[in-house]
Amino acid sequence: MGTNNMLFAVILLPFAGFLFNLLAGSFVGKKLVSLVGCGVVIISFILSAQIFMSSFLQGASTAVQSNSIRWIDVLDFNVDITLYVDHLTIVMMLVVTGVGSLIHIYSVGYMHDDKRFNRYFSYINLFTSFMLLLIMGKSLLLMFVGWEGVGLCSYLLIGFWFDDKEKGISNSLAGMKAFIVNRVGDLSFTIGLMILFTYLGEKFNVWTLDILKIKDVVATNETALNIPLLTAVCILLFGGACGKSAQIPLYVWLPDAMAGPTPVSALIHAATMVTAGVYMVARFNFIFALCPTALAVVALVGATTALFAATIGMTQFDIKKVLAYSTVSQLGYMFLACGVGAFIAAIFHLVTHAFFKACLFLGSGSVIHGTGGEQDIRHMGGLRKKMPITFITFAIATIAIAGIPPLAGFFSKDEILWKAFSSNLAVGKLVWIIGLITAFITAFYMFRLLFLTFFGDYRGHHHVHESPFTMVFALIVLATLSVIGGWVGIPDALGEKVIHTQTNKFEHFLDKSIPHEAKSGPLHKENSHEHHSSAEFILMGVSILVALSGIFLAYYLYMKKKEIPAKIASSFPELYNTIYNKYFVDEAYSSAIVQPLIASSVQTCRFDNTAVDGSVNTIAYSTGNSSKYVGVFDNNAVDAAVNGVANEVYSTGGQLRLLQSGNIKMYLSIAVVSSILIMAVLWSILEWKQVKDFLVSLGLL
Amino acid sequence: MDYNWIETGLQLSRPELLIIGGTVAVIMLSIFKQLSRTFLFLCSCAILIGAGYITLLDIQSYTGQTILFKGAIGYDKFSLFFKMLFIAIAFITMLFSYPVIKNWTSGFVEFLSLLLCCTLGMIYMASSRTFLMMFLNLEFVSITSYIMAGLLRHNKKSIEASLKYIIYGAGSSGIMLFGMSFLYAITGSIDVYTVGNTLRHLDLPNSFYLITSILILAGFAYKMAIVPFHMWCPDVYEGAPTPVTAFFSTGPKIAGFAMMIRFVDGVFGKGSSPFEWQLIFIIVSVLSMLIGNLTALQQNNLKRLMAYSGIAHAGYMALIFLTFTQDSIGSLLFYSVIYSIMNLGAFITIIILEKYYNIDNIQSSAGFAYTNPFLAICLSIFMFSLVGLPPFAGFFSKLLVFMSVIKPLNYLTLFAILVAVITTVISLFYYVKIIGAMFLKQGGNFTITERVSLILNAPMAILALATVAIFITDWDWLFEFCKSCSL
Repeated sequence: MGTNNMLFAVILLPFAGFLFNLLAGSFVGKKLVSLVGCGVVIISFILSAQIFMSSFLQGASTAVQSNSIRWIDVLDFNVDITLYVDHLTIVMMLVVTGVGSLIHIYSVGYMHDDKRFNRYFSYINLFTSFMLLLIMGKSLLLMFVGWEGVGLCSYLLIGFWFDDKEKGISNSLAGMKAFIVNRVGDLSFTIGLMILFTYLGEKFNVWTLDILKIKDVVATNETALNIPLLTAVCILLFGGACGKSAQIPLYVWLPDAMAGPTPVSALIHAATMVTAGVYMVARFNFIFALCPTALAVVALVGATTALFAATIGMTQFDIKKVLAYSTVSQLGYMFLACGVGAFIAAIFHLVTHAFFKACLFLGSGSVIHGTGGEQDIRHMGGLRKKMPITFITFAIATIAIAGIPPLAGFFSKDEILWKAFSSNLAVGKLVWIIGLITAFITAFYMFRLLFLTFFGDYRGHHHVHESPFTMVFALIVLATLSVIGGWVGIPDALGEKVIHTQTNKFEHFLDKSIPHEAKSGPLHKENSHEHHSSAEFILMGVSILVALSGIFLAYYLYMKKKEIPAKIASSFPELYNTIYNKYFVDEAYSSAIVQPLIASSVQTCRFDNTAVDGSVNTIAYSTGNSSKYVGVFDNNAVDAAVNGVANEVYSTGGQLRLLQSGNIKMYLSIAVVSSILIMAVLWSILEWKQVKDFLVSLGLL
Repeated sequence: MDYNWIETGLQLSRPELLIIGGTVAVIMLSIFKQLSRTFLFLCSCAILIGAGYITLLDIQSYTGQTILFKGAIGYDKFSLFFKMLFIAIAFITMLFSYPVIKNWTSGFVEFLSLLLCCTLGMIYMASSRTFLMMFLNLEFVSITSYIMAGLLRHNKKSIEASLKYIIYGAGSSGIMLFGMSFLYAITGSIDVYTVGNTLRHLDLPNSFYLITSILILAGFAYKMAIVPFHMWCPDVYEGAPTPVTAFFSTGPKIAGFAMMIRFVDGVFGKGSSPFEWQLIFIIVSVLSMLIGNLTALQQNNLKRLMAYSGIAHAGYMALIFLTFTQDSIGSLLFYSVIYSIMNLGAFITIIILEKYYNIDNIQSSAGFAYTNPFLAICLSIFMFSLVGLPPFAGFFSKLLVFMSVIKPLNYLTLFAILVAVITTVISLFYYVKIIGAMFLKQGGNFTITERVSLILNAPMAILALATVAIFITDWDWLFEFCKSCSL
């Protein structure tokens, strides 16, 4: 298979899986559904790996792209469907298809008893397809299609259990919340794209949505660019990322999104879709790097979100909610990295985060599955012995996210903190301190979760059992990746000291896609090499220390002195309640946006009563009566037709009147049919020769 | 950047701005319950008079062509003519609606403000130069019309009319947009003139033109109420409040024609075109004349009869597309003035019959002439004029259209004119049927509760007078003026 076909196959296979599972899934049985559902994604992964091996590891090591299919062709404005894979894309592809395959396999076990098994698989297949389109599309329009597509799938999957007896309504509300909040971000994203498109078009006469062409234009005209405008563009684009990647102020949908099935939370709301914003910012690094102000905004929003979400995570008792806030917090880290110009570090953290967070979510799913749907960690405990594999994998992932070497999370998080510290930006040191505090809190609440869930005595009543093999398999693979996944990005400073080679392969790999990197870019100091590495070692030590102290605190509070947390909570009731209730942000949104919106519409309504009252009431009133009415009319129409044939044939006019039956469907049909008839008549007049030939060939003439 | 175009555009849109501001003001004022309905009505009239006055000043002094708002709006004598006409139609409608709507429990202010809005939309329909503006203004007029049709919200027929209108309108505009997207995809422009120029340089198959033009025709023709997009018309006319029907039968219909002319002028042009688009209009106008007139024969309800008469007249008006020269466009402008006068007049008589005598069909109007001979005479004048008999203005309007069509005489135009003449004869039957019922038959006793309002009688008399006067006096200036306003 040529590279071209392979690129298309990567996207089209999951899409074919979607179609198959949606259309045929309910007839063919669960086995075939799961086989197709998992198979297509696994093949996609194998193909991605194949592309990675053949085009990136060996050979020229340059970007590959597929043939172009013309999609929109209007004079100067053209959009092609072209798939483009460079170093950044291939990393994302491997993560999406790799982690995706594991989660698909896991879902076979997790969703086994669900009555809409086939629909579930069709949705996540569709999601995979859209996610791949998002990262592989060369045109921003394709990226946008993927961007909206994954949003759609997210909506469908969050509300997947919309018919649940107890939580059905809140599940579908959560879906709607995600969808609506994302619209806010998407609006900002779209405006940003349009400004960029129009600006480059009007100023440099390059009307394009092709990312590479935009990059060229920006690179060749670097001095002539209007930086304040581009800053606005960057902030608008980042607004889109805020929606998709759940950053302040648009993060509120993600914790609620946990209403969906747990594998969905792992795939969409932890590992892949929510990282689309980070990917997008990294993709636009060439513009962001030109706008220090926009970068500062990104860094500050990221850092604030990281800290803010982590503090909420400390107080939650729902196992998935803790992980959700942890996800928001880790995404904040990624944006923090983007904001200090360390796009590669952000992508690195994205990758390692995908491993350990997917592992954590799947582990939590395994716990929920094993305890019969329990999600409150106050009713867990002691699961260590009953679910040993789940426990071990969960523990590994927890250590990874806490940032203990040599697990994956340490390297990526440390990279970000180091890049922030060494950054030349004014906000660098500030976000570094915030990042460090967040690292402490992260270690604390993650170990709190681990201790409360797996240690101590079991506080629930359900018969606990270990999960089936399909689920455990994914856990084991992901846990392994959480351990070794970070080794591709061991800092050069460390590698050179110990084994005298450059060990940060990840950075050198992505260097080709993201050249504006920390070391050489204008954003960072030219440190002397020696100073550089010794400072880096000190910082590494500091972050390990911070993580360890977080773990120790969790151990002390939740293993040794179990009464203290409650005491703390009761001695600072306001603070505790504020954090426990997520700083009342949802309530604030409700009272600041939703309620005023409703109130103002009530007011507007009152005002409008004089102006539009008629139409509104007309429609309301007529909805009630229309069906009855249409019925009456149909009767009349039929009657009229019958009687008409009998009695009223005395003139042409009488017959023509019968067409006017009062049935609106018939009116429209007549309009359509007669339009087609007119077309046909005129066409046969104008193209009489062709018609004649045709009729002759049929033997009619 | 240069923002002069905004300033120029706004300066030349003073009547429109006045209507916008006035509409808002009327709505705001309506909040104060102390203000009487008469006051609001007078305000609305004043707005229209003001806008009409400004337009009148403009139309006298202006020659040439200006393009406003970066090509969206064409400001020329053609658009000024229709601006004037629509403001006049709206003004007359507003006048004779007042006695009807002042007793409505709800919907009074809505009627005034929606009428103003609809007028604005019609004005912009006539001056749109791009697909976008055409679509937007078509929808603007449609949406205001839907609401106006449903203003009597406790009347089932009114609601049904509104709902049918919405469904039919949505369908047609959808089809039209689809057609426009074809043209845009091929030419990359939404400006009708640019599209036309681009098309002339492309060698496109007939099938493309056929599909595109008929799809787009769906949107325009539904406003003009041309067969086969006329089906909504009788039901909506019958159900909607009668003043609203009077308005629908003139304003939006003529606005549809104005927009169609602009579209055809831009896309196909007056000279030779790569596609014989006239064929389409032969079919639809012949169908309209036949179906409109034949079906009208059977109608008993006055408003439904007027609906079919309107369809037939749309067929006559569509004849001008067969030649599409400056003369024929001029004759259409002339036709639309005369048609508005006689149609509005006819509807005033219907309103009086309905409001004061409770008559809404031909049968029950038997012998009415002995109760109110003045009204019966006016009605006869309008009816004869609608047929196209001398000595009434309708004669000339039809004559001019036929003459301009027959200029390049060939089989097709001859066929179309023959149909037009024959159907005109047919139309005599149903128009005269009303007159016959009123004058020749013996009828019941017509009691009247109150005197017919002057505000209804006066416009009716004036319009009837105008119908006669245009024939008797020198009507040539009006035709010359219409020709000078032609595109």
